[in-house]
Amino acid sequence: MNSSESEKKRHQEYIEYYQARMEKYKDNPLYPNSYNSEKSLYDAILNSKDIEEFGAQVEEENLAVKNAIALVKDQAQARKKLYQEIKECIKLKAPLQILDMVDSIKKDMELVNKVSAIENQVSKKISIDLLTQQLSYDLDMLEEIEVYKTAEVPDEWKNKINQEIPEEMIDNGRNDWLNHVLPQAQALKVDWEFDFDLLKKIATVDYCLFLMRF
Amino acid sequence: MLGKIRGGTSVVDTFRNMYQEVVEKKASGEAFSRMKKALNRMEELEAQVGNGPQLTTLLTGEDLFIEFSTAYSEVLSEMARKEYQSVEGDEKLFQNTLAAYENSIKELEGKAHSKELIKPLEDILELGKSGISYPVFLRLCEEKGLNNALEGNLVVREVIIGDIDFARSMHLPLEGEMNQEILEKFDELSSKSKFKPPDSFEFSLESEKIQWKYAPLLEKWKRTTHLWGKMLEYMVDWVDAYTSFAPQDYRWADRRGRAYTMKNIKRTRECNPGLFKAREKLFYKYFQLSWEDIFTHPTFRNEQEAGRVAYSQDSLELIKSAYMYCEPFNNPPQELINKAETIHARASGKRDFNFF
Repeated sequence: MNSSESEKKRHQEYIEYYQARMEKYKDNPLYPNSYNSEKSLYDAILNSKDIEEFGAQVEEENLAVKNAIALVKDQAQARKKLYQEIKECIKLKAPLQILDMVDSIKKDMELVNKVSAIENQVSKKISIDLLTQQLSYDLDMLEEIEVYKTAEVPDEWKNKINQEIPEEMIDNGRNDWLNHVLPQAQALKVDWEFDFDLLKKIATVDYCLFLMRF
Repeated sequence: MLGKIRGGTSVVDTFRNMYQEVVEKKASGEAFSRMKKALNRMEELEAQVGNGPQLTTLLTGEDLFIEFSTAYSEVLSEMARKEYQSVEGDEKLFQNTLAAYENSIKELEGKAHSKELIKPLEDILELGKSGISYPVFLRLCEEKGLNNALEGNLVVREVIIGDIDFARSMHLPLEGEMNQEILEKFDELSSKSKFKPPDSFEFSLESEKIQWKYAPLLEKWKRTTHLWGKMLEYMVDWVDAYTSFAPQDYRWADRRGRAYTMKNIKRTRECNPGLFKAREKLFYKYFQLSWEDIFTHPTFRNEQEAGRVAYSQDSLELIKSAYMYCEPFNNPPQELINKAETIHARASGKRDFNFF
């Protein structure tokens, strides 16, 4: 095989490779942008006279970066859809922010860095949001306090059972909050404070809905 | 200390190793300096607070994970760019790719799930060494799903099966059901996938959806079990507090002396019915379950099958009979106290552990 035939064969093999990449996303509703960008790459190589011309076109039209953007976009759109569906409003922030900026990207490392920065920033918000899990432990404690405060006991024990023990529990809970929960949250966000209005809303509506979801 | 691998495990170790890796590859430049700066700060914080959850929070709060990782990606990307520019033709690139897979196999040997993780790498190497060209190799990797396999999807299936087995052996029915559903979703996506195994991103979304669906069920299961566990405990303690063995029992023993122990017993006798009733009220308020419902409830049956109800059948019968007497200011009848003593003597009612 002479050099020209060998180049032709190599060109054909790359055409088949890009076709396989395009096929991977064909008819997959999760990846419409990726399919289109892979198709652009496939069309480019198919219509190039050789690999070099294809390389030049990829460079000129920034096809490789556009391809990366398409994948990021598809994944962000899929995450957006899921988090809207399951009402995960904090997790939803990352795909929304990614979708806001992704079309303005021109370079691969810019894409990597901006996506990482968003994911990192939102992951901190998620960590803070997860502090609401504290609510589950708090409910256990509130339940104990309620049991002790309302228990019908002889007069001799009223002070101990209905007052001292619940107060001890409240003090322990307050210490735990001030010495553990709050410092941990404020290490992630210096001015973090519990949103008590939100807590009331959660306690009255969302938590009931949460328990009634099944 | 910078870049040296130390004994013990720390969250910073991973970053030290990554730093060491690029040092060995003779990295330099602005991105490398940023890596170094981020690692320096990580080590400063590690020295201040030690290796614990607080360190992770501080590293996250100062964005050090992201600063380091971004710089690291840039360093690797620059290295790859230089390497790509220096190679002539894709055959050399092909050889470098295969050499990288060979190195990965060596690194994985002896690690968790190494068998499943190494298999796709071996398949890729076998394909790469079969005499085909680089573009054909790349195409076949796509078509045979070897790239997906590299993402660890084969291990994912093994891990889910492991989770199902674990749930079964630990009598965790809802966790088992949830993981079974995840496995079915994995297999469904596999069967639909053009190039098997399934797309890991799509699978991760589907898994998250299933886990979200089960979250309230798991929470309700846990809280129901916790509540009736407490109720059983109050009832047993109440009857046992009247027995002759109570003063020697660890539940009431007080290091300060017998007078305090006796006071503890008195408190249980006089206060447990009121505490029990208050808890029973909450149990009904939250779950619309009564005392009788406990013993036929799926959570109770499951805990019993799992051997996690720490009371013998005799003790449970005793508890059930005691219920009608467990009212504030009331005492259990002597017959039940005698029965509790008999059970204790046989040690069949001994509580060795407490899960509630």
